[in-house]
Amino acid sequence: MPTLSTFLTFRFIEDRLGAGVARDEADLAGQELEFHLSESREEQQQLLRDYLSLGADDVDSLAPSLHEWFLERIVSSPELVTVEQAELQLAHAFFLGGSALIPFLAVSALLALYRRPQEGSASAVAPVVREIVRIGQEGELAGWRERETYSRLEQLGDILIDLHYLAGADVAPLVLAALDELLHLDLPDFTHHLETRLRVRAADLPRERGRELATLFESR
Amino acid sequence: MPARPLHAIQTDIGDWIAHSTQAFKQDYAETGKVWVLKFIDARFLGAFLRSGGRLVVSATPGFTWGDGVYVAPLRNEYSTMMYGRIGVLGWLDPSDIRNVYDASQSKGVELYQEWIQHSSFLYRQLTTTIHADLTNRVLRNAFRRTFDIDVVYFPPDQFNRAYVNSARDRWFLVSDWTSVGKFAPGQRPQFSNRVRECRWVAIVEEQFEPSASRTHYSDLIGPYAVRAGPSRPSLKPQFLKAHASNTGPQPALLVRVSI
Repeated sequence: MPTLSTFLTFRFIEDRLGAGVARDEADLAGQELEFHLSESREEQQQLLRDYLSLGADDVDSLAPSLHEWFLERIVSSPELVTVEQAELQLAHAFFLGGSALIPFLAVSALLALYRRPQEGSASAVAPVVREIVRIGQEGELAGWRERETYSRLEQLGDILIDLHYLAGADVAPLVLAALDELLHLDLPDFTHHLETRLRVRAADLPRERGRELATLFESR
Repeated sequence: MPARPLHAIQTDIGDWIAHSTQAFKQDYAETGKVWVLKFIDARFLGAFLRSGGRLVVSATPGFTWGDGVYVAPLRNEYSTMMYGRIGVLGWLDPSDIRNVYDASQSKGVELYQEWIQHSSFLYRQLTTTIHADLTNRVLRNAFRRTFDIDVVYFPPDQFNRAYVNSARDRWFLVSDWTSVGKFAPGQRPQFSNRVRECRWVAIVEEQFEPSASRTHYSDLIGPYAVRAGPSRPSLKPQFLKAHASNTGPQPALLVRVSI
């Protein structure tokens, strides 16, 4: 159960920052909210914890603008939460509808939380991959078939390809580790598709960035 | 698929940034300062003064070049008065401005358009979904961050017939990525220190009303008042004088911008 403060913040974000609010007005409201939050790190942490501990039904019923705000907040300030607190909710957020950017923000948040590749363990996007594969195997959602599994994995691959270049060379190892995990999935059609895309991309990039990508498929 | 590889576009963008930076400093740096103005809503005057005269980063989807501090050069002093009655003046240090992007010319816009086509997921969302505002914001921020752009300058894209000259005027977007993680898709709406010695210097008499689409603003009083002449006088000397005078917590001199 979120605190009253969290509940009111949810309402404020939805009513004053959401789609449909004129951008100038939304910007003023955003500044007002930021002004209050910047006063207290504890309040920010509590707000994020409350969001991350919501049950699945509550999460699904929130407006997309709320998810966007919270996910971006986590990406911007990953030090306010821990991997343990956040990774399941972020994996769930990857599948939320309503905004095309939510999966992008969820993956960005996972990468931001990890900060650096974990030696000998799964990559930052492992929770999303596990969830995609689990849902695909169990056919948990009505109408969920193999094609959708591939489609979700392709989406994840495309987001990572974007982030590899957009997020900069100094954090590229995190993204490369995530792409490497995808390339090693036991789904030959998908991994072949991804490798083809990576080869095209590697040729397209400036030399050093392209070479980074090439190491992924040259070792296969 | 884009016609040219990313590495070729990136090289051209680097050249354009070098050209833009030189032109910007020649055009706007005066005696070691780039003077910039911002007109803010009177609702935020108190917060502005309490913050010690710092400007706030705008981080809402839909802004022209993404997140940052939107200001106008002092020479285009009338062009942003429609945004608020309170005029604040400060300056950018040219030595802080390493990379500038001129988006007022078609070459700058076209290079950006070429560059975004190389994104996979984001370009698809931009062109085939209704979520263009948010996606544009992420792409514009990513572009500025990838090329480490401190200032983008561009022609006004919101208008008023008496205050904005879209052919002549330019607006600036100043980046501030302080304390923002590498994967963050935007800056946070926090105070920025990039604009220095920002002081309250003016009050605008006119009342503006935005259109429903917010593409233009109507001036509500001016059309019914007698103007002194056909053209507006430069307020630059008065604004600079007010800035020099207002060093204390309360302004000693405020310029009344008449109708």
